Amino acid sequence: MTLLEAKSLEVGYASTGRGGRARENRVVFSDLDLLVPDDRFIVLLGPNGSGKSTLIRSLSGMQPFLSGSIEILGRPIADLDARERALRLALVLTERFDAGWFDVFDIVAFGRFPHETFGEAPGPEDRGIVRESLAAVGMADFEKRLFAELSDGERQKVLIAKALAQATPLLVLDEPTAFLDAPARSEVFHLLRKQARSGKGVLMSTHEVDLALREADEVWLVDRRRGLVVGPPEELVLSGAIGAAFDGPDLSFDAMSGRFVAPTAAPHRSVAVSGDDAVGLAWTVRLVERLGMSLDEGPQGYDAELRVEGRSGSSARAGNDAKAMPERRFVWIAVPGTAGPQRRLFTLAEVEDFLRDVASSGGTSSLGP
Amino acid sequence: MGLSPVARAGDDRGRASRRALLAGLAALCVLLFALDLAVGSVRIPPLRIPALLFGSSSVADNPAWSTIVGIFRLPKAITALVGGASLAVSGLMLQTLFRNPLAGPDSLGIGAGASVGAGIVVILSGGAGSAFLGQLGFAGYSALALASALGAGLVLALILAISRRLAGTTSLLITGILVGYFAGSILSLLIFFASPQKIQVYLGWTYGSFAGVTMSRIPVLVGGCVLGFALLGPSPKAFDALVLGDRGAESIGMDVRRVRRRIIASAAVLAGVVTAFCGPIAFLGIAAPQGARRLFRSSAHRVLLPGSALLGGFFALVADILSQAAPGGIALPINPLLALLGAPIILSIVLRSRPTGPDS
Repeated sequence: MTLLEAKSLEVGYASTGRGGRARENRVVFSDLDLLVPDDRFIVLLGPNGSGKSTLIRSLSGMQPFLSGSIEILGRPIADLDARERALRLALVLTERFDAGWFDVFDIVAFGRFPHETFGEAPGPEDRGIVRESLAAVGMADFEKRLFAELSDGERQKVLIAKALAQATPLLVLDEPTAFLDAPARSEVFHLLRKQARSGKGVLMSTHEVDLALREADEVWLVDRRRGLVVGPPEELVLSGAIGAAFDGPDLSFDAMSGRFVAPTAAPHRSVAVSGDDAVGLAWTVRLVERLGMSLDEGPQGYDAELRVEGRSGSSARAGNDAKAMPERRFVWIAVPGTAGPQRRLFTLAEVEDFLRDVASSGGTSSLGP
Repeated sequence: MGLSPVARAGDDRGRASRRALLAGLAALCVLLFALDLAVGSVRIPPLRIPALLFGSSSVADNPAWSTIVGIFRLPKAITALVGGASLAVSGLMLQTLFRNPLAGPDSLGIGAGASVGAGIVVILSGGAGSAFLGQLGFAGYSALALASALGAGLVLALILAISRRLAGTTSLLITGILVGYFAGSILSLLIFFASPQKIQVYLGWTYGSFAGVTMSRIPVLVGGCVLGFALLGPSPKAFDALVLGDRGAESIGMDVRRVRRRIIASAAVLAGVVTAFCGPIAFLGIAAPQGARRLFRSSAHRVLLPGSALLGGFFALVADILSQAAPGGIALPINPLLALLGAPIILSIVLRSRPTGPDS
């Protein structure tokens, strides 16, 4: 089912035509044809300042658009008054506000305002829905806490609960992860995907590339040159659209790893990394990349070889004083053209020292103590 | 899904204690009202007040008492109660509208706008002998109240227009101060061309007084204030929603523009009418809503509207009673008293609440 549909949409800011200057609209996007169906998690992805908020505000009726049409559940958005709109579309905004003495329950109960069951105070049905919404975002125990005393992540979850309490088919969020730390960002993405799986159409804007590619059903990618590119996240990676939109002079998108990487700095050293300890291997690779070394074989072969073979028994049982005992792994370290490989327990810090030696000395490193 | 019994009990307790607090405050206002009738240059035993008011005065009573109470003290006490409540509600709604705990009729220059409106009426009506609040008839007084409300509304509309272009607390307050200066200058010019007697009365008026309203003018004052309250409409929850910001309120289905218009009209009428009758009363409009928020630990307008009104009436009555307490039968001016008494009280409330708690 189509929840929101935009046709030939042009968004931006109408000129005020002041001072006798020519009236010229500032167009942010033009010629957009967009569709939000139910059961879909759509992420509007773009760098900061690329016009995401303008588009979100236009699509949710908070800002007039320049031309074209927007329909919500088959009705032109301009025909809906604020209450009718609030029954169809719930909005989570970035603007911060001082909630005074309102507690978490009160804030979520605001989501019940447009409903008939809410007179001057929430009725029994409203109270039930408020508590369900709080439970859905994992904030059931926070009901009596003052909203003003919550952390940024907790606030954002409560605001999402408020939007859920609005019980609308459409959920639109403007940068809900902007002020959050990494775990809270992931949590918000998971939460919204779950809402989409339960049948809602969810549209959120963000500049979080990693999470968007991993969680979204569809990405609307803001590209400064080409406007809005729409497609499944995997396709946008393969077509190079993500890279085209985000690459800067210092960072480029690596389609293989799905991460942004800095171009490797010369001098170029290459390190062969292998092993059967998957986690240890993955982070050893990260270490090699961080030091600006290549994992591909160079013209003269590898400058060093690492083989990661797994954790020592001692570190596995030292779980409770992990701080005192750094993680050690059995690593084979070999430098071609020198004495045979050395296999012993290394911490990654020691491996890093070794790699730095390799990088600076051009492959004739000693193995240290 | 079941409701947690603990949380429900907590809700009920909170609601019950708020209701008890409101009732207590109302009772306190009734007592202070009676006390206000009893004190003055002629002291009347407070226990005689009900009898004097409700007409069953026995022969043993001093016949002068009923005259003193009926002609002088009753209108003064009504003015204090209604004026205090109106200024408090006006301040509450301005703080809601601007989402700013420092907004109020005086800090935003609205009182000054009301004074200009009132001043113009006095100058234009200015028969040589008519003092500022002297010999105006019923129609004249209605015109005074209307002009005052218009002046207040004009300043409020101007500040609202400016506040949309300049975000932030500081710029808003600076704007209020500048508008206040501007209005004050117009007032100064009006005063400059007024006769010395008018200047004398005007200066007295700026001290603020609840005593200038005679019984025949009470209906205009009370009617104006009732109109101001009525303009707020029947649904306080709409004001709660403004805490989310304009867009936030709109996103949950509020017609923000209509709510804003209602608040402006109401705050302007309330502040305008009271200023016309009592002079520019400072402090109450900011302090009473602040006190109500802390006292009731609530931001919900269904609590704050009655709470602020009662607290405003309470402050005004206390100030009026204390103004009679000076020896020698001299009534002290209200404005300095209100600030002297109220500021420390509010400060103590502010300091006692949690430092991490909300500011507004």
